[in-house]
Amino acid sequence: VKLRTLTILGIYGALGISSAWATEGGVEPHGIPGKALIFAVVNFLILVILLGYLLRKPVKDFFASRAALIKQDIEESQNLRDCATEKFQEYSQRLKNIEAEMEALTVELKRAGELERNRIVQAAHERVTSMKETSERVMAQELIRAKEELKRDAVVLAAELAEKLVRENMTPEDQKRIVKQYMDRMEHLS
Amino acid sequence: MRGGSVAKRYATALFYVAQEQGKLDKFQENLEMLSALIRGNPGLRETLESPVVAISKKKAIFLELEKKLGLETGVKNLILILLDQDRAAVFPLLDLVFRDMADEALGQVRATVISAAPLGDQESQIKGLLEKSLGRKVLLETRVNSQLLGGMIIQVGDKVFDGSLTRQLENLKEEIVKRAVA
Repeated sequence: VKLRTLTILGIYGALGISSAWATEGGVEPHGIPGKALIFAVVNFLILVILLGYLLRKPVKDFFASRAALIKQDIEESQNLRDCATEKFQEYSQRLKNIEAEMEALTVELKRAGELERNRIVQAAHERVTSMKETSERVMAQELIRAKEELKRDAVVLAAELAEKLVRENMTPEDQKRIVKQYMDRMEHLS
Repeated sequence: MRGGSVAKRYATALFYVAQEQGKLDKFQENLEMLSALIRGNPGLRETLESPVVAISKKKAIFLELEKKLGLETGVKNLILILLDQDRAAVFPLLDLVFRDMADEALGQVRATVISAAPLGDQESQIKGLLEKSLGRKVLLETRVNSQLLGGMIIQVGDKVFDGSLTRQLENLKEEIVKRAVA
């Protein structure tokens, strides 16, 4: 392409020189210089043709890309416009329904609050019941334990009393008798 | 543990000497006497076991005592050897080991009776009963402990027969508590 461009520019240059040369050769003392004008016109036409030939593809490409860009911009604008329209319609619709929605939301919130309240009350009731049962169970166990402790204390006291009585009333004869009984038992076992 | 094996070694040697001489009971008596003397005199024990008292001095003290006690030659020589080797501390254990070996050889067993009041003539009955049931001669030792309330406790070796009123009351108490709580 470069070679072709250079060639074409070279030809155009040669023509330009010949044009200049023609101008030098055909200057008239007054009026419009006929020959020079023809050369200039021809030169201009050649320039236009050359430029048309050389710039045809880049210009075409430029305009094509420009057209694509514009088309894309138009499409994007169209999309944005569509979105905006859609949003606008949606918000318009929402605004129209906002009262009803608020009403529904209030009802829903009230209902949720009621449910939550009921749930908390129910949980509290269950907790109270459980605590009551636990307390009753613990109390019952404590009562049993206290009874057992009381019995044990009574037995210990009775034993201590018995020990005291034995100590006070034990005679040497009693001691001999107890030893004898134990010996009999041992003899019987052996 | 090391003291135990040393005591056992000396006791075994003494046991064979006593057996050879047919004086097991005599040797045993001597050792028991010596043991009781040392037990009853902590100062004597400390002196004989002290590492700062010269061995010659310990031996002199012992020989002085021996004159009064009239120990068998075998026992006397063993004690002198122990003092020479500065091993008087093993004597109490040696006495116990020898006693067990001698008891075994003589076919006798030791029993202790702890009663709430002195046993009197029942002591011989208990001894007879034990000899009958154990089939061996019984060396009976008696002690009084008024805390038992009544009755007695018999110890034979590692066995204990508790016939005291304290034990009976305790058993009764446990039984009543068990029934009351159940």
